[in-house]
Amino acid sequence: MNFLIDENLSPRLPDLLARLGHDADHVGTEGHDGDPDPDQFRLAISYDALITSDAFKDAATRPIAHQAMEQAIRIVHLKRPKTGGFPASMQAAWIERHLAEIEREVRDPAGARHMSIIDLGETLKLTPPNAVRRWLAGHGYDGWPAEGPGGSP
Amino acid sequence: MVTWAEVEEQARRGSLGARLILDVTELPRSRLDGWHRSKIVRASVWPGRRGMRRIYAWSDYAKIRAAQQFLDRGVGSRDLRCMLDRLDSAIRDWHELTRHDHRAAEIIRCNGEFRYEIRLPSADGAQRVASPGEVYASEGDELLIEIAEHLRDEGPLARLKRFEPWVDMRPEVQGGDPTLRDSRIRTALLAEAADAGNSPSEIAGELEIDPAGVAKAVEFHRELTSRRAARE
Repeated sequence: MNFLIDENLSPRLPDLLARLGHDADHVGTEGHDGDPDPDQFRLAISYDALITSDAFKDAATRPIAHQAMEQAIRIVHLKRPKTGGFPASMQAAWIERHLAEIEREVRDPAGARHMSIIDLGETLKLTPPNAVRRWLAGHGYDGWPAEGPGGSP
Repeated sequence: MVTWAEVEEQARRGSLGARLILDVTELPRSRLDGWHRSKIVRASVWPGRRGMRRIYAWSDYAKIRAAQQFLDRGVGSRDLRCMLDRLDSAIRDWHELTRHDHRAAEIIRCNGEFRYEIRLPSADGAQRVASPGEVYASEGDELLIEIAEHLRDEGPLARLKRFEPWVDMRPEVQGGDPTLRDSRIRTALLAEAADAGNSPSEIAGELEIDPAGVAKAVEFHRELTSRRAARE
């Protein structure tokens, strides 16, 4: 698979993933550090998934994340363990441990929109909660899929 | 299907949680709630409901700060809405002045007319008009200009301006959440890593960034959370 590694993860991760047989580029080493959100998403389109440890789970960043999901961008949220997710070898180990799960989700054509964020360790499927979906629909963002099991709070 | 233009528009609007706005501005929660209910400054991205916080646009954030400045300068609560409307009509896109990249902007009164423009220096040393003056102000708008200039000078971090060399807020990056300057790395993430026992140099080493910036970003986030703790 071909991953884009977000700026909040180690730039050493692509090398570690290469040893596992996967291609990966880091946002920073590609010269895209500090890019606005839409630029980041545009870049992510050409990869199988964007791996981040700081996914757009916060309520305030959801509107933009939901729009990105509409563009079928897969976001793998590397949930941080208690150590804060460091060092890079730990991040790689986490990805390796969940690689089959990531691959399954990324390859699933039915999951193009509502299964885009894979929260490692919890397999959380982030979909807009009903209240947000109703509000989005009222603002012209219709067609959100129904909230499935494990939907976001 | 959401288009890229809509994604970009959403990013430009920004999306800031009410709690972050309270932390940065140190505004009492009751006042922010009151302004939302009375529609003086509404949370225009997401109006909120039980269990889900309100989400403000960047322009709402600027309005909240302007309202705060009006109050500090003796404008009565009842006149706030009127003054914010006057600010909107006097200086088009004035809320853009709160962005760090508008620090050098000048507010020009044009040709002796009651018209204002925001002018930004460009790379070749000339000035470009960021906001063409299509609207006209009235006599006695000195207070509006004073407040617009104050917000420009304060920058995006408001009363935490001293962290500006290391921390930034941009609506199109992480919705406007505070980040390490020139990056997409949220200060909250760095503080979380520090709280987990990683030193700034360890975090900086892993992410290949400046340790001094990490330390300052962590300090910034801890100041926000201490304000929150004091408030709640």
